[in-house]
Amino acid sequence: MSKTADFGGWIREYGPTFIILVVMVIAWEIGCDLAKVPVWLLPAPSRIWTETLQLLPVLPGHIYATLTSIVGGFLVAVVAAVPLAIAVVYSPFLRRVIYPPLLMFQSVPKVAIAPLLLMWLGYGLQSNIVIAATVAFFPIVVNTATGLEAVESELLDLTRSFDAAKPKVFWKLRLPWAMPYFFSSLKVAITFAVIGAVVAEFIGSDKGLGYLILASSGAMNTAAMFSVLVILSVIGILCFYAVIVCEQLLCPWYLPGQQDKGGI
Amino acid sequence: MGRFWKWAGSGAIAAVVGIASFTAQAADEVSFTFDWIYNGTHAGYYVARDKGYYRDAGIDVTLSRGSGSGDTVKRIGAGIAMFGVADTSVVVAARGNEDIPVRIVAMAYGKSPLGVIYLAESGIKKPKDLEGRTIGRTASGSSVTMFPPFLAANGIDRATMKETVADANTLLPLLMSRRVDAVLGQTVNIGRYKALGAKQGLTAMGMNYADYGLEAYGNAIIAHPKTIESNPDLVRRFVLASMKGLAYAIVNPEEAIATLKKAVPEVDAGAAMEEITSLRDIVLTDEVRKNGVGYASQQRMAATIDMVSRALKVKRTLSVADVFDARFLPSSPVMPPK
Amino acid sequence: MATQSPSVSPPGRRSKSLAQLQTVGKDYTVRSGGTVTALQDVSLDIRENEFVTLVGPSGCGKSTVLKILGGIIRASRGTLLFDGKPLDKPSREIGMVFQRPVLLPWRSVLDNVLFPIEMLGWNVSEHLDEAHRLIKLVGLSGFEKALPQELSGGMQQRVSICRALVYDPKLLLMDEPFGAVDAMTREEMGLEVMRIWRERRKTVVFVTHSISESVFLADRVVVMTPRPGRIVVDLPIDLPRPRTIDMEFTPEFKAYADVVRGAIYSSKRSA
Repeated sequence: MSKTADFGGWIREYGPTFIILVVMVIAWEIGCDLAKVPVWLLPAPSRIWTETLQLLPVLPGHIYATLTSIVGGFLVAVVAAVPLAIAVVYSPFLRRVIYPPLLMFQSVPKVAIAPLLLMWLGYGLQSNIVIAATVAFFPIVVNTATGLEAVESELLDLTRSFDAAKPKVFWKLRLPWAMPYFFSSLKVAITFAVIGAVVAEFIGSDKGLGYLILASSGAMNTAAMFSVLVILSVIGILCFYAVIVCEQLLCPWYLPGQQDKGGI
Repeated sequence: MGRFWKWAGSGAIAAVVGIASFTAQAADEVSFTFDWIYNGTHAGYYVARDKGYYRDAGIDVTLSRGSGSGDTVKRIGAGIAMFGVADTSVVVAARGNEDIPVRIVAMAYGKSPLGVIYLAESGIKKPKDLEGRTIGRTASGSSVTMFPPFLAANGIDRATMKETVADANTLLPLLMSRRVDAVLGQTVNIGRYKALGAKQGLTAMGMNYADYGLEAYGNAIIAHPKTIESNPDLVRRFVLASMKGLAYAIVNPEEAIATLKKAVPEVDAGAAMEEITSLRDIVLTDEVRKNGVGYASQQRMAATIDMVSRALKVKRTLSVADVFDARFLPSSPVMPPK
Repeated sequence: MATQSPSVSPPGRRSKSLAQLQTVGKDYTVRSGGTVTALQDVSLDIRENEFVTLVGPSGCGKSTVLKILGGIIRASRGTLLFDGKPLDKPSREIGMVFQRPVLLPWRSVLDNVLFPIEMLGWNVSEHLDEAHRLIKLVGLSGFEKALPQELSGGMQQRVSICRALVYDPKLLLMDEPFGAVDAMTREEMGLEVMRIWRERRKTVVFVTHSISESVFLADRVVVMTPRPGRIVVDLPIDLPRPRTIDMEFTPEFKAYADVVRGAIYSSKRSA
């Protein structure tokens, strides 16, 4: 895996995105100024910036709390989902038993049951992690199960033709085959984990970015609230890209445009 | 052929209705947003509508629920609704921190309903007993922000208390399960606590900040300065009708709740009854008995602004006029009917 | 010349029977509830070192015959003998090549070729030389470390042939292996397969829907027709080996092709 220090290439790839972002921020600033938009309706970027500077001392603690919930919830979701996906693929009985309650659980808005969960589990980081995990869990199960089953039938015929043992078929065929599906679901799951962590904080925390949003809104400080929202988006984006990096390291064969089609 | 007569018929009816409404005194269409989800404290406004107080004042009112005082303040400030109900401390914060364009035009609550709800079984009898206890509260909100002045007024050390943060709906079960000794909230809500407590043989009690050193106002009627400027007469009429309804409701609670229930069937009549009953003491302060429902004095308003500004570290120094426009209080005091 | 004849060994060739289908039938239950007879009364004798092609229109059951031979599908009726013994599960003496190469995208060419060895739990290092030899045999030396996405379709198919041969099976079953490859590459690869068959002394059963390909490659052409799937002709091909492309233009070749074509179309009419 050669990561060429091609600075020129880096600029070419990310330059346009960066420029568009800068243009959007400037337009926002000018727009607010020209239309005299009140700060409590839509704060201008400059106000958001000053508020961010004011928040700076307390931010690290809150960011750390929310990140812990996000990453913790995400990991718990993965650890719970993968065995379940395997079980569902290998046992039609378990599939019939597991899918209906899973679907029911998924359809319930977590915002509604989170207060109950917090009551049962107690308030604190561990409950936030559980709530984030419940939101992130479902896409991983479904996608991973799909991936495990999606092996080309000819390949399965092939392994059958030389009578390969089932565990070998799992480890050497189904599992690697499912990796792209698995990572695809992880990208969805991490964004869900962010949402779940923030929802949990809305409901019962006095730490974390979700709490900060509520507190700023309650103190009638819309600019501070926006500042936290921006920080939250940045964190969400960074988490997402972290998953992409893992994907590049662990299943490089899947990413399109990586290899040239050569030869005859 | 039958189709033609149908069209002609409806056209005629429309014309007649149009003409009729034109010739009749066109009522002012008014949108009025509450501070929270429909509950017993709003019964007075439904009474005002049901008994025709608004109609007689030439007002066609649309009543809608709110999502918190802060949200209602923003709605009035943005012109989404014409009048609203919001807690005074939130209005002060909104005026001072973000200069949201609203003014208080009447004071619904004679004193702030913010306070501590606790169980008699916990042994708490007075504010000082809260030291060393576990308190349940929401992450933010008026009951939380006004807690420090309350503590200061009573010489209580906050550091001795454990605080559990939860969302508003969870505070009730928290107290009932004895996971906390007391919760911060509004004493108008004590009805729910009492009802649930009774089922478990527990007695819920309330302690208003206002009775223990905090001379602060509570829910107020608010409006946008532009509404005040362009149509002061409408504001006056609206305030009068609303206060009449409120005054009637607090001395006729059963009728008021029945009216509320007719308009909003999903309201829990039992809890609403408790709310309107507790509301009576909050509306009918000595000051109100002398000056009428809706009254607020300049001095007490100034004191409220000062205390809230310090508690919330409000950025701007506010004058009373920044927050309260006293010109629309009923000229003859509105008293509850005997 | 639509005869239901049991297979007859070509004159002069008295080799032993490697695989035998005896009155094999295969039924499938359809969703609507009935059964479809995919194969009816198929008897086929594959002799050692023979190159047999199975040809026929779609739905005649030629792929089904192959899969039964390979032990992937079980016959509904009849017996399958391999090396004189009944075969009821897949054998390591049989290798299969499918129409699509289906290589594992996360493995290099060499690792793909060694895939069966790993799956069988055998010692990889012992078969490393053989893998390299096979890769050289199909003309892909130098591509051992390449990933499948980097190869063309024809190259990938050649890798799958190596994969089928790496554990040295006696019988190689190929199910329209050149279907996904262009016409020029097809001819080349046909020559390749015949070369491998000769050099490694394998037995090959090759399914195709191309009449000329079936004649070009085979010692014997077995013609099948559908509804129900059955063998109509078992035609020995007596053309000299090694076969060359220009043989396709000889009158003898054309005569054989005509017989095959006639068998297919006349049974279409009579069906």
